Amino acid sequence: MKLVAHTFMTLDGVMQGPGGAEEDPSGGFGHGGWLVPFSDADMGVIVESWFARTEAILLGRNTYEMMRGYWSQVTDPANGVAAKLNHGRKYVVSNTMTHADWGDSTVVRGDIIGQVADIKKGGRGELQVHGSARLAQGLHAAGLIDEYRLLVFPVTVGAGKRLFTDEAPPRGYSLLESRTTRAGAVYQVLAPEAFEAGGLTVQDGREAAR
Amino acid sequence: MGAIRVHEFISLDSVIDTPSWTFQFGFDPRMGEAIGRITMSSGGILLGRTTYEMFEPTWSKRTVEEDPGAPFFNDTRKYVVSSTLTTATWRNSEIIGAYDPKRIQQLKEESTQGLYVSGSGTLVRALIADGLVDELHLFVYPVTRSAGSRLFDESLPPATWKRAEAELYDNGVTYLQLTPAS
Repeated sequence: MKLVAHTFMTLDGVMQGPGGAEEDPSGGFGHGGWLVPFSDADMGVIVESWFARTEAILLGRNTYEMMRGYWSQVTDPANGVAAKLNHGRKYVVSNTMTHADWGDSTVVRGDIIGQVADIKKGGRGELQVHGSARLAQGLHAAGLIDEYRLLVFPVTVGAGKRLFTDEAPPRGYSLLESRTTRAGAVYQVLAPEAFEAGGLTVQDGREAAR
Repeated sequence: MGAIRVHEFISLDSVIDTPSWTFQFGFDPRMGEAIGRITMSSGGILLGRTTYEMFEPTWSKRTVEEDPGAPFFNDTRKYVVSSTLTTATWRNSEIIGAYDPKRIQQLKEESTQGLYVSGSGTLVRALIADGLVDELHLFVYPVTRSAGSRLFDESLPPATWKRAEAELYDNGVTYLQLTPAS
């Protein structure tokens, strides 16, 4: 399966607590809910397009619990996102949970990276990570993510959980798709590439890459 | 009163150190036009010491034939924020001393066309913190740098920006023009 990460992100790279103050106040994060002023129909179209392609979903425990609390109440059969989340195949990464009872859920514990690599080998379609900062950081650092779908919002919050941490290896990307939402977000779909760096030199009075 | 317009080449994870990593993406002509619009509307240049010292040897030797941007950088009045430099050797330059928001505010008030800022991470973070930036022009490259000097570091207070403009270039760069949404 293709592993795709879906991340709502501030301009300064923070992915913590987009939807509300109570969502993830860990680490003293006091700016939760930063996405809400920019939520619009364009964003809805983008998010629906993600879930239209879901084969299976991989979540960290916090995101799993939060999504279960909300989406298990949405029983409207016309809601495609709820249908995928409530009835689709889900993996939840946790070393404390023993079993997960939200529909078709499997707990992944122990060697997370190795097990996710095994899940990727078994089948086709998209294995989608949504949010799940710590899990996404680990998958990014391990180079397991095949595609990144980032919605970047014009707000800066300072400290908070990031997808791209200081410890992650530098990486280049090819831009597969890019568009903007009317509320001010930028949507980018990226595929990882090798990181390249060059330098500047002046040749015959002009800048040139070396 | 003139606007302060900040121009940065920035990675996807907000790093703005010496942008050698931008070269692999080439230079989209529309990006050159966008930068030209920022410089052409500005009547002065405001720089931190590090960026000034990096720009001077490169730009001061260039002519308009070699680079259409040369007259702007060489002929425009430049103000350099530095507590250590005493004399400015690049023509049309003035050292304005250590960072002082009142002095910057005064420069804004004296300026009719506004001031262009490029690079100058330490200066720009101070300007953002003091609410002195009117336009942020970010050219976002599809690269994550991980460690490196971030434009928005954790010392800055939370802020919301209004996206005034966005352009997507064929080389993968996204241009965002942001204004404070206060």
